[in-house]
Amino acid sequence: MRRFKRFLYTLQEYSLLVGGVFRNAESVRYIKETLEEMYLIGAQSVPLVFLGGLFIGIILALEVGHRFESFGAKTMVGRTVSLGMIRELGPVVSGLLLAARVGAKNASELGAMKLSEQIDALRAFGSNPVTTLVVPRTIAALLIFLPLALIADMSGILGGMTVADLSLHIDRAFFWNAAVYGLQMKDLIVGFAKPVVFGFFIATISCFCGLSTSGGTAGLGRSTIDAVVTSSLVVLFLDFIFTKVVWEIL
Amino acid sequence: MGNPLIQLQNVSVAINDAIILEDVSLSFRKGETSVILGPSGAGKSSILKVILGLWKPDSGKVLIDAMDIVPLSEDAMLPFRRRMAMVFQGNALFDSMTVGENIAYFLREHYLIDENEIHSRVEESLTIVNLEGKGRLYPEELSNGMKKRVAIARAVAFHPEVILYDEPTTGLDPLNARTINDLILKLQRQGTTSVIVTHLLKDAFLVGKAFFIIESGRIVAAGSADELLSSTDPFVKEFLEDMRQVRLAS
Repeated sequence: MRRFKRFLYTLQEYSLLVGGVFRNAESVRYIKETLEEMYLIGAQSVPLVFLGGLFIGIILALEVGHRFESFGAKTMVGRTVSLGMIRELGPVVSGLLLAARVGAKNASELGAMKLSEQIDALRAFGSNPVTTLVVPRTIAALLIFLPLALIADMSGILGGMTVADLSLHIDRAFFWNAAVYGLQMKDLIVGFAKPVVFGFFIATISCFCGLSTSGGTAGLGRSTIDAVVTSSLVVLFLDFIFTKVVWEIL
Repeated sequence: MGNPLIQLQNVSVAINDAIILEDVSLSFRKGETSVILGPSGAGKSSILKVILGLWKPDSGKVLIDAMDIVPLSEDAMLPFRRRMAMVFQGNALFDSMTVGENIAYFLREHYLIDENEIHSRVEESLTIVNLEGKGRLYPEELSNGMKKRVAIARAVAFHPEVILYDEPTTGLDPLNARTINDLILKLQRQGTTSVIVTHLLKDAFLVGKAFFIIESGRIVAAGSADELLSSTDPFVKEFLEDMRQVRLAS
């Protein structure tokens, strides 16, 4: 019962933080901080999502290629890889990788600021930590997660195409045509909406964990772990919701 | 003798069932340097956090110029926070900013003056703490004593009416401690109201005019230096024993 109460309290505090983000979202004062965050979580994450997407695309092409080959449906590989990458694996893999990278970064930075009383100092100087720290990180994540997911999508499809050519002897042009023309508008809508939603939740959850840090360096470790684990689980849960609900609506 | 600028009336604070402050009543007069003495963990720093509105008391009133700040929102607290500055125990310098940016933070955040004036105010504040030309350094490049002086420079930069010092000389070598005490006395002569929290008796009696002793969240004695040194309260006698010996020896 006590755990449940604590969970509800945490949910309430998180909701208040999200409310604060929406109330202060129009604040464009911290454009420099937002651009810095975009660079830190965006440009520096490109190799990570590129490689993540590439390997997933290669594995997907190999797995489905060999299965499809056994009943003569090898030509479906391009379409399956592109659909899998755009709708599911691109957003989810980039989401999980970014949950680890961005989640750990936000939670440890804000947690360290909390422990060293910098958050109190901000408030003492009349600044709202949500406006100065959480909003720039959230806006940066909203803007940068989609391009990163697209990089994962493209590297996955290109990796799958290369492996399909070398290992399964599927012509690259044929693979590409099947990959591109097999996609429908709703696949693109789902695939492009997911990273934006994931970005919002990863940023706000990790900032919340950081701002809730207490208990010294051990507490900082705990809040960083909480940020990464919770963000990753939320990515998977939201992916399920998207797949189920959006598939039925669209 | 000035009028009470800050008053705490029957303030109690508890965190996770632990009583931090219990029925604390204090008043700090305008232009006076007041010192809150007490052993570690007695609740000294909590009083400063309550005065700044960083902590909301569970009961009681915090009056600034006779206005109760307890019910005020963060935004409504801003006019009061513009009048007060705090020197945090761990300095709480923003480690992503240079010394100059730290000192200019409040002025920039609230658009109080133009950039040229901010620049000269930063230089003026650095001169006050004998750190001319150190504005481009980052906090990590400074010694503990220098960090404390930067924290004081940041506090005086916007010319606050009240400066709250949390253990300003704790952990400093005698030379740096003397520099900080001299700074406090200098600001005192300029009419700044100061509230100092410390457990270092020598420093406290050097700069203080009015004294409060706190133990386990309760104020156990208040008065001038002579009144406290002649107190018959067993805890006060024991706590001030070293100081009494120094007085007797001199």
